[in-house]
Amino acid sequence: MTPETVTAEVEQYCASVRDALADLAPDVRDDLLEDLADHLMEVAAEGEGSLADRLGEPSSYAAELRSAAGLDVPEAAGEHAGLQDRILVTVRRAGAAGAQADSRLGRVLGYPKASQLIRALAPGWWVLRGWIVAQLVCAHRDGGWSYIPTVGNSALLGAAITVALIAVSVVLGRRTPHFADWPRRIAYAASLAVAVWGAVVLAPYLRETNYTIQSVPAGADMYGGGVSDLYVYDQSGNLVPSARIYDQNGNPLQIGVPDCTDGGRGAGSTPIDPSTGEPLTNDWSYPLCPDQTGPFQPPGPVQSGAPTPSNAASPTAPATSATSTKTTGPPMASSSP
Amino acid sequence: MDSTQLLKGVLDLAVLAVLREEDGYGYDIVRRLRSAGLDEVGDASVYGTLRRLYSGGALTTYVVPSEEGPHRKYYALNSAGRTQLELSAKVWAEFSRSMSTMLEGIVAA
Repeated sequence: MTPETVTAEVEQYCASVRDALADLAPDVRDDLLEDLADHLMEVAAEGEGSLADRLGEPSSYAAELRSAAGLDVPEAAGEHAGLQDRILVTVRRAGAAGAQADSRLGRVLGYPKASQLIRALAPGWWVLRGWIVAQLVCAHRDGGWSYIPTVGNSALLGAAITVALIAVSVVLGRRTPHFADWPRRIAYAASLAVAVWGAVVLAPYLRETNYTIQSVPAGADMYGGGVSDLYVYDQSGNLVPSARIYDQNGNPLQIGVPDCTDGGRGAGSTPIDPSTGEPLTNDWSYPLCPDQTGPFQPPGPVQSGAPTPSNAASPTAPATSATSTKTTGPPMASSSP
Repeated sequence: MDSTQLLKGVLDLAVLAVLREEDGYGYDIVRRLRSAGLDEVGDASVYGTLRRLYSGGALTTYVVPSEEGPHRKYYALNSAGRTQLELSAKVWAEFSRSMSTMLEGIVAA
């Protein structure tokens, strides 16, 4: 019997019966199923109706075959004795329970068996698998990421490779069930590896876009308006030049112009604390540029650039009276209810 | 009572009896059992029984090549099979006599 003459239905039925007898020793099972394909072909050629209509579901066919062949209980002889015996029984029971769950879950999902739904979804997985492998061979090497991988700046080549790999994956997916035992196992293992690789390595890339947006806030929304910068004034209305602002958790507020391109320091230079001359250790906290002038001039003499008076806020304890935000003040200073 | 329940106990005997007439391959034996009146016999039961009788040493097999269809595995009784058939037939005859006597008059002949 050549594969061409075996109809898809016969193949499917055979495979299902074989699956249901998966717990048997391979030689025993092969023996038992030796004539099955020929038998099914003959039944199929003989009349109307599906094989399942005339012979019952593959699982019940397998059960009947097993029972009639006297294989309900594992042979207690020789190599199968003792512990192995019990393991075989356990495995078989698990298999039977699995088959039952398969049918029950299937009824809920509107299929005779849940595994049939999974089988119906398989082509979707084949496409996804091809795409993941395309990402593996292309995007990974560039260090970049896009849904259609680029190969050496060529999106077209990347797309062509993706399509080709998807096609290969689909063809492979259709043929895998007909492979011999070992090639089939290898194919399934490789498929699993691709799935794991896709989940572990690729999934973070898919989220990366969101990370980028969140990590560089352009400002803050407060009272319905955009707040792009904060200035701290003391009680006398003087600008507090080195005030840093923290939220209720003690984290520096990352608000303001992130790069100090003006002020004569040049882009990328580390902000210097004007009171100490030391580089600001938490240099992402407010204020980012030491020589800010503020949105308005105070009524008194301007003390720009000079060390902060002691009655004003210290750099780590910003004044609260002049700021327009409720989030000022280090966590230690906030009163607990 | 379902006749499939009864069949389970006597399928060995039925298969051996069919093979006494003539060697046969699996599906051929299924057909012959059905045409002999065992309509309820399941394909899988017959194949399983053949496998078990073969493993038990009651049958021999040989492959018959065929021009159009697949090569078929034929089953044949060997001497052990014939002995088993004779013994089983005696047991069945006694059993069925007892049952018939017990049930006499219930079913109109």
